[in-house]
Amino acid sequence: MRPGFDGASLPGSSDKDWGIIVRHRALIAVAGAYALVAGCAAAPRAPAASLASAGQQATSAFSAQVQQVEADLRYAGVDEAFSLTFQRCSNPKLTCKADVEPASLSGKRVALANLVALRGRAIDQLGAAYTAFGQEAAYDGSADMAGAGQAALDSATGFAAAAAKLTGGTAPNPLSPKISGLADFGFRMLGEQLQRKRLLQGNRRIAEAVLQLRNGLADEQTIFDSLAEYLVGKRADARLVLFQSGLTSSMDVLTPLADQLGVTLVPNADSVVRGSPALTASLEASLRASARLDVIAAQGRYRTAIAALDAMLRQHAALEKQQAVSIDDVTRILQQLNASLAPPPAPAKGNP
Amino acid sequence: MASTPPPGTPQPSTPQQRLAVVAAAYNEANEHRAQDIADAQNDEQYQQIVDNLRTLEGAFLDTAAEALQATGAAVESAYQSARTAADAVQKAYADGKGIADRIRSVAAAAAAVTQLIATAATL
Repeated sequence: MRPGFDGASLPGSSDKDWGIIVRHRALIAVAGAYALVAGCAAAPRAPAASLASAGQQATSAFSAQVQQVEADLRYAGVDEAFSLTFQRCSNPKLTCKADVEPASLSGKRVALANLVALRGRAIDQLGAAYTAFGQEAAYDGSADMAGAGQAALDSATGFAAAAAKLTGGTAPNPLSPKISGLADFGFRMLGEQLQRKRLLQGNRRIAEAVLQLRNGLADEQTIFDSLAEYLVGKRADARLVLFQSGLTSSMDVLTPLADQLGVTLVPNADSVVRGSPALTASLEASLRASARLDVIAAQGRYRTAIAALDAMLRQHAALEKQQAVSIDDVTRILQQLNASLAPPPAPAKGNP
Repeated sequence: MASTPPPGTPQPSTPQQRLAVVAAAYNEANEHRAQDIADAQNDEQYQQIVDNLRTLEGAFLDTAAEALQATGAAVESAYQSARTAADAVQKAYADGKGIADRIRSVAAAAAAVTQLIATAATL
């Protein structure tokens, strides 16, 4: 007589079924025992997938920030050569010739860009961890194990039938739906539990990496603040030169100014500015003030990217505690970041 | 055992503090660059202005690099941590999926043997 507790309502309760169970016990025992030991908690695939997606977006946005600083550092020498040569050649007392910085200075800038690139590499690596986490979350371990288990049972049954035919014996009865159901349940639970364990371990490992990166990059905030000011300064000088030389329209500055004030500019506003030294000086002052805003925006983006990592850490903690994961905070912060990166809105109606 | 500096001894500055000072000096000088160049009376004066600025800019770039190198170990550690996490998650996924794959491959092998037996039975 088979052992058991209240087996009357369980599948596999007849003696015939029990015989089948015994024949396939190795296969079923692994799945069934694991399922019983492991309990019934489901693998948190959906929250892990949300977290992975948010993590990929957050690291991608942060990486774009850092890569922009790196690219600007590498290009700064070009802005510099343009604005300096223009300033030199605008003074009639000086010899007009191209002024390119010495290689030692550009070498220092490249060395700095390389150091910044290492930050980007670390952020990208974290993004890769989130991608792997997303791949795991997208995988249905439960269904895959059930499918594999079913294939194993089918082939075992087929093998037994073929062997019996070869030896002239009696082919075993196919597994009853009850037995199949039990095996399917066992394999599903096995897949579910193994995946749950993997997801929670992955969550912990990634959270540790996020924390380290967040702390490292937060410590460098003031360095990036200085770099933002330096790089925006270079760009502002070049933009000013483009304006002074008449190569760009004053409308680039006038239009947002007029929109901000809620006024409509006259159609020939650019010519009016060019004909007035006072207005030209005012526009140049506005360009510099606009550069100041650019510095603040660049510094703000770095802080926002850190805030996105903080929000990610909160959600990693929620997943660890098996609480509901909400990526709303991360999404909101990323929207803020993306909005600050977006090009300025098109001129309002009335201002060309 | 390290001795405690006497009271009033200035503490060494951090790379980030030095960067703040150098950056302020460079930004201040650079802000006046256009006007200074416009006021230059000859090429020598111009070269002096530019050389001074480049010295300050070089110091800024060096100090920024020094500051990033000072915190570099933490970032490198974070990189290694992220890499370990990525590898571990990938391996766990591959291993987890591998269990199902191995069961399937055993099933496929059994099916092949079954086919062999079935063929043998017809001979």
